[in-house]
Amino acid sequence: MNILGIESSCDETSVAIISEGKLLSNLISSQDIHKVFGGVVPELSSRAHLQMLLPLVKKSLNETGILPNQIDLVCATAGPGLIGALLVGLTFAKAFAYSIGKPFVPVNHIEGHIFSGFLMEEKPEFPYLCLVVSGGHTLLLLVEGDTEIKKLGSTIDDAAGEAFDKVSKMLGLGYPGGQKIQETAMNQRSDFVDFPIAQCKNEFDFSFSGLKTAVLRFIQKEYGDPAKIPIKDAALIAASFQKAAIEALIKKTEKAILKYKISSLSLVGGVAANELLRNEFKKLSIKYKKKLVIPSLQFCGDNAAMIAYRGSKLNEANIKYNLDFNAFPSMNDYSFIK
Amino acid sequence: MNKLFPILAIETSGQLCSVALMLNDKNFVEINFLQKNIHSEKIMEMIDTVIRSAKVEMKQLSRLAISVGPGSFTGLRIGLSAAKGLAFGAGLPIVPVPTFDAWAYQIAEFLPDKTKFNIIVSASIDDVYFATFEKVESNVKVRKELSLMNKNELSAYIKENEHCLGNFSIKERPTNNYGPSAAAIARWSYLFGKDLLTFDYDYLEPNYFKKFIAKVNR
Repeated sequence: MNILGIESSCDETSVAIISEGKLLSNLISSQDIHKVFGGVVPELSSRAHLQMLLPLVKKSLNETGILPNQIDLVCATAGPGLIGALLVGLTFAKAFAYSIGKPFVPVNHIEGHIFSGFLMEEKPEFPYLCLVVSGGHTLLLLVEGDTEIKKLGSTIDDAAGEAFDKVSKMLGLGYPGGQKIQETAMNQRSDFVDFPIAQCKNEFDFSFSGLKTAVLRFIQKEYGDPAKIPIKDAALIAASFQKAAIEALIKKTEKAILKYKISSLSLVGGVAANELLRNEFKKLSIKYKKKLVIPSLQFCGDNAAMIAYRGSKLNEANIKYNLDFNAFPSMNDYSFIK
Repeated sequence: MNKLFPILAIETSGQLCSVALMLNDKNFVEINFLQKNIHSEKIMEMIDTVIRSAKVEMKQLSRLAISVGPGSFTGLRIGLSAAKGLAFGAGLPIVPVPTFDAWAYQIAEFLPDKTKFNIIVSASIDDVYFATFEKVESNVKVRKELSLMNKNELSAYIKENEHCLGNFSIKERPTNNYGPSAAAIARWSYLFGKDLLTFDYDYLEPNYFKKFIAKVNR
């Protein structure tokens, strides 16, 4: 069974092929064009996807020696994400599947991340606790099976990655924020400012808006103008912010470990690339003797390998989709997360 | 083995989502769906319907004809993404068809000789895509090449009693506001698209025409 996966939900065009359960190719083309704008420009992103997609599909097939008509299943991200960007990958996937007479499976991007641990040698075991942290989402989930996912908590305002991006901008560190903050905070003491950790009504929910504002207030009070922050202080603020943000994630995760019976622990999504967060998860897994699966960096960011894997599981579960399946912008439109 | 037909044509540049299968120079199947934002949902079903009703298979097609604009950026990308997926899967070439030219040709069929007419399509709040044509015998002559123009400048180019088509209406003149149908795209492709036929469509993109300017926000 040869499975083609396509991802085009934001600023990465990615194509992957899984053959007989093995990942043979996972190509990712990142769009550098957005950097100067301090965020992704949807129209530019959509244009780039249309340019990159077919060359990547051809390259992926070439690498694996598989012919177009030897593909047995075509999977593509249908949402959540930028609609214009999603439509390019989704429409191409539907058309390609149709022309080779093979089934097409739409995949929820977040569900792609949730199961991305299965792309690793050591895989998560059901039921597992999964923390999804990305630019658009922060979710704590109890994953009991391929189609049984329970939402324990989520962010009530900003996503964790969003907070990283915004604080990075405030400190003049640039975009993408997660990477810039991590680099700047490296080897800095994190007790320069004691930023607050939000308490939410639901014990597993997150909130990062208050933290973001606390950073802004601190900058305004101490320096007046963000442009006047000394480089040394910016690094200390970044480290203090990073510590507070990660502590919030870890606290809620630890609470959930204590409450639910789980076999494994998994950390996924773009922010899972953060070293400090990875280390804290390692500590948790040792403390509570749980198997830990954190995808390697190529599977943390957006990638088509996770889309192909997720699509293959939905296909195994015998779920059928029609060609009128449309792209969707938000999480709740089509999802197995209950 | 350089056969002309059947041609599968796709038109998604405006509100009309249109798919046609041209069997020969006389016979065709066409499906039109005029509604905003249904293109991505309906296009593959519509393609499947024309293919099945004509009892042909994808790999029996000679080529795809795709309307490349100008028009709605997202709409055009839906059409082009579909065309690339279909063409690559079935090993077919693509003919990129200039939307206004195919449209002018379709309109001219119904006009008397020497008629002058304009096509005007909204491009933004201030601008329109504008081209003007004349029917000369059974052909269409371009009087003014496609351009992007400020709405206020239009009146200088349009004489009274000239037909205007497109989704931008001026002075309550009758307009056909939904663009060419896919059969017109197919027809243009075999009459004039011989040199545009290509297997090299990896980087094919819509005729965006208008410059896209993103502002840096600090």
